[in-house]
Amino acid sequence: MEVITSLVIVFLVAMVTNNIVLSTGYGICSYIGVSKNRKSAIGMGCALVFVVFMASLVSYFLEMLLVALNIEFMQTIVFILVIASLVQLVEMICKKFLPSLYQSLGIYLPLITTNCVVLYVTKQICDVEAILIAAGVSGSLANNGFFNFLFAMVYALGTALGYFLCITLMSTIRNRIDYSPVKRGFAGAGIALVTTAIMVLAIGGLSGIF
Amino acid sequence: MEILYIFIVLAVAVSLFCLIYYLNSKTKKPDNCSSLPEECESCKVIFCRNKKTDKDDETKEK
Amino acid sequence: MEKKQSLLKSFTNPIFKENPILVSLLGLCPVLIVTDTFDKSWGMGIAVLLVLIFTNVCISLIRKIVPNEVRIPVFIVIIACFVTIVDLLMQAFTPTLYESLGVIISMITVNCIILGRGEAFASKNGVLASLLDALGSGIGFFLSVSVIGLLREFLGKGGLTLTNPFTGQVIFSAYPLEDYAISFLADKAGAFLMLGIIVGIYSYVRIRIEEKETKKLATAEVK
Repeated sequence: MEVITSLVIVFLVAMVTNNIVLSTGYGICSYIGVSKNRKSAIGMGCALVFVVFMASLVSYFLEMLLVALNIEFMQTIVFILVIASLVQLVEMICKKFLPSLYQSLGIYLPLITTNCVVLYVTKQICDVEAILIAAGVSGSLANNGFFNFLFAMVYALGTALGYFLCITLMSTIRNRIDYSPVKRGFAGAGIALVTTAIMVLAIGGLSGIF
Repeated sequence: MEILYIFIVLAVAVSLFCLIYYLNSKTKKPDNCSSLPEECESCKVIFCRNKKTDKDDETKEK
Repeated sequence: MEKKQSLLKSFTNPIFKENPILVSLLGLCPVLIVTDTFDKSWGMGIAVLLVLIFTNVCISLIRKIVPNEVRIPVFIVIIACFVTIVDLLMQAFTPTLYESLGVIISMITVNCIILGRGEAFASKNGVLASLLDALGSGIGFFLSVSVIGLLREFLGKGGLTLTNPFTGQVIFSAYPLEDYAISFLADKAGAFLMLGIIVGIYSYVRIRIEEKETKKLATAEVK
């Protein structure tokens, strides 16, 4: 029973209070470009959720292999290669078997290779105990192998959904900003960043709630 | 011994990646897809917009 | 002479006119996280500069051997290898800086500045031009990140701390304005706000300079 409540807590913490963009600031790379338009934002968010989930699935087991072979410092290289090949594989499968899905989502898949979120999540799930402690749940729950895996997957899913939430909200706000007079230099990126600062303050008020 | 493991892991990963990338670039896009504007490729993502959906939105608003 | 001028331009262009952070808006990921303190900012700037130089020179050297279809995978592998090398070097020689930066050094792999410059410039130009371009972009990144970090630490904590990265010793630490510090600027919200304001001001100044230049050209043509 305690495991199930901890799973829900980890998911909600990863999605809302420790939102990856608004709380740690990692997903900014393509954020400003893609959040101009509601459709692009939703497309990018969905593609990212899918890629993050699959990449964390693969990299969880790869990390165990790397630790067994005692070559842990190859983590960055191996993970980025795995992420990039996964993105290409997903794009290939979408092109061949799911063309309607490719029309809406496939365009954003190459952007995800250089997105900080995916690499950050795959690196974080190597240390599940730190995730649990950051979420305020007792770290001893991570001792069992299967629960370790569950927590890692839930964290990955929560983080990706948090990114999706943030980018969709930002795109709707920017749609409204487009109709307001903005000072000359600030149009585009400047006002988007300032608005994100206010969103960070709003989300910061929810910290510690779980 | 570890250097051997490094070489094997790197060789497998890199060759797999190159193979998948090559196969992906050879599969054709489905027919209705508009080609991606150049600003949207990988790192040039500053002004990323799908031009086809833009046209649909404009006609709908009118 | 023309070649020398174009080489010099590829060095000075990325510093002010096409600054990777403030104009092209590439590689914003580390800027928000690293500019909490001035030490972390210039440490990160040096790391990115090193990786840029290595990868640009390497990509420019092998640009004629690599087949066109597998260009991007090869670039990604090269960037990841050099990032791991710089990461291990920093772990060995500057342990305190490495501890404070942490996982962000590995994030240089997906930093768009390096892949962008490699693809746009180094894969098409010679070694010397790519080296100058890498130096220019790296110095541009270093300058902007250091300025933002300096402002955020000075206004957010009221002072400055400089430490020697190799030994961890504090060289200079003074907090004269601590009572008047705007502590909001030391948090994440302040990071976004400071970056937004600086990007806005920079782009406004650039627009004004361009308007003045077009006015000058117009009056010169009329005469």
